[in-house]
Amino acid sequence: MKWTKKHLLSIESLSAEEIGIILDNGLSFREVLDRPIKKVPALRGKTVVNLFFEPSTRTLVSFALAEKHLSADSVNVSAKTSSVLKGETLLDTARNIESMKTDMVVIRHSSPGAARFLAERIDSNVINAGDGIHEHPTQALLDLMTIKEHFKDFNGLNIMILGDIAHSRVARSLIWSFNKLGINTTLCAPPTLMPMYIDDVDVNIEYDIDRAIANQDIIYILRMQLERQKSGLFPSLSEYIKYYSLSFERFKRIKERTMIMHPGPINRGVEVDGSVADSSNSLILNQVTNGVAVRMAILYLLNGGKDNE
Amino acid sequence: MSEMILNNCHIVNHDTELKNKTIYIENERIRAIKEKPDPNGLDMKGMTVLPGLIDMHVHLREPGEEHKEDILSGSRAAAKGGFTGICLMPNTKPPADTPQAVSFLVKRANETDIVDIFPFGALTKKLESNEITEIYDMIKAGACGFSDDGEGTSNSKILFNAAKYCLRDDILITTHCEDKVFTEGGQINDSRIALETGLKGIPHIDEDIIVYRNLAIASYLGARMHIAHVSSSHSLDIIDDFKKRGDKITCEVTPHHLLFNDTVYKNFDTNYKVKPPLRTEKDRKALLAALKNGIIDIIATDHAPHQIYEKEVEFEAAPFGILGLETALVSLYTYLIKDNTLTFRDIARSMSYNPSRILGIEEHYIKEGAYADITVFNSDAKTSITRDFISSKSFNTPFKDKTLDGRIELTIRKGRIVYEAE
Repeated sequence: MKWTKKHLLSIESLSAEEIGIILDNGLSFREVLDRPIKKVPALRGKTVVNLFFEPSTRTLVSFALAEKHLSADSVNVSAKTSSVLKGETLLDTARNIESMKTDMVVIRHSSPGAARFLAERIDSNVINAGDGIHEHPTQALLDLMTIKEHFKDFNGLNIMILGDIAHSRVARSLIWSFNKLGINTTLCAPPTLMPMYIDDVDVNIEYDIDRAIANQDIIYILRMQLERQKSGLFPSLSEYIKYYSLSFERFKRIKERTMIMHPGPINRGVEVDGSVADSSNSLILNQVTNGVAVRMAILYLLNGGKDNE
Repeated sequence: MSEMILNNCHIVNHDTELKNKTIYIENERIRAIKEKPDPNGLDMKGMTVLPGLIDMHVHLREPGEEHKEDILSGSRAAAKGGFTGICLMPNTKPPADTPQAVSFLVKRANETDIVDIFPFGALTKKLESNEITEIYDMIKAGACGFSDDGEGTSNSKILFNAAKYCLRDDILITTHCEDKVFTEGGQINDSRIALETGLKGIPHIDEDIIVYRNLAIASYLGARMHIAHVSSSHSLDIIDDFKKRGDKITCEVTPHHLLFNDTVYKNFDTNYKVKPPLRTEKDRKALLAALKNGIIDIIATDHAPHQIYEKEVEFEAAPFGILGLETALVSLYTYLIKDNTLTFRDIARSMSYNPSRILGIEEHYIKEGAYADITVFNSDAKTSITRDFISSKSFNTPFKDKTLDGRIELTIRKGRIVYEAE
């Protein structure tokens, strides 16, 4: 199968085969990162704009490095979220930037559908680097690459996602990808941090972490947004930690078989104990390294893609 | 004396259908309906002749947001859609919350003089749900009823007082039912689609709770109450319950809630972004059934113009609202009448006769002596919803650049042609 897509907007719109192509290319580019000179000429002469409407450190650095390793010329733009009344609209911002003859746009935005909105209206390839709580496809792909690197095969793996699933674009992208790849998914969170209508999706829902953590190959821990407490979704941080944190005590019961993942940045002692995140079961820093490799793969593939999604 | 004669009319009222009639219009009224064609008559062969349509839920944005729509452009759009009368919602800038503001609308209506305009006054000052407006004086100035529309009337005690005040003369109150604690930040119906798109969901209980509250208040007082744009099947059950007790309750549905379900949101198309949001297919089916069996009294468009540049933004930044006046009948014809889900009698009932009864004006019914308010529909022609076709100042419609079946051929208001297809 050959790659045809022009944009990367969501995991939901990718087939299992397409995910496989990205991961295979990602593993090839991973090797480039271990070279003393980490540069290939694949995107020489191409211009990439990293258009970030939300603050980000690791995703932005990861994309910027991936672009540089591929010899692309890239610029970072941090912009304020558009508003009809104040300032320039998203579309005008993008059209203006594109008029400077760009080839690819990486966009992060707080509004779901923002990446697709641009893809439907500008000529450049568009990569979704996170759009509200819709999706974060490159995060899911770097996670899948990390899982593949460690476990070789996806089929039949048991993976649990722990934490604020309701407000997480990472969780959504992971759930769609796990379902495409034959992974058994368990979601664990207090009911108020579980999205509505998740029962309609093929996942196991567990409210009791101590029952849920048994027999998992991976526990994927989400970052807890501390402001959720203020909106009344759980009563106190200490109760959250008591009932939903992957504490060292819980970890001791599962460390023989279970690997730990986290998209970062970590709140040590909140969603996960610091020593668990640093343990030999942790794949967290592998995820970060693979982020650069998988983004190289995506940039490389889309550059040859023609189909409009 | 002006006279107009329509030959070969297929007249569809809500309770009767008459074929091959000749309608004689003299000045404002229908003088006679006869059997034989008249040599001086206009030929209506193949057309459906309906009583003039009334839209009880329209936003014309004047005063304050004339870049979206004004009374002239909105009246033209109404006539083009087959409407001879429209009710204006009071949430203009400033809102129509004084007798003077209502007088202004009446004056503008007389100046434009294309369709009948019935202004709703605000139920509370500045739509803020703190103090009731000068309701009796506003009725004198020409208000047809009262509503806080999109703002709702959040304070239950104020709604209670207002409904009680309206007991004198059985004044009409229409309410937009939305519990804002559930809709804050909400974008689309809460369902699997909200989960998939990441757009914040609006659960149907936001509507159900306020429908129940408002009807409980009206029922307790014996007051009249009209429920605007019902979208949820659970709300229909509540309305049905109150109606069975004989309360003075009516309700409406929009064409878009009859035509679409929430799966359209998968494409993040802001032209479907509307409040209440499009709900599930189960809700849509329930709305259709309720329209057929009379739980729903009328179809009203909630015509809500917004400029293209306001809608062509990321989904969360786009305003809520869909155009309705010019597409209502042709879209209902294309998707629901052609396959016999609805009939032209249903249209005559829900878009003409029932609205006239609720407003307490002369019945919209094609008969001798009635006002000559007539909408002529041509099932054999087509309507292309292009920017050039649309008279509205805005173009925020899901039917943008689509071709729909059927065409409004002629709109006659009080004996005068106010729209004629080119």
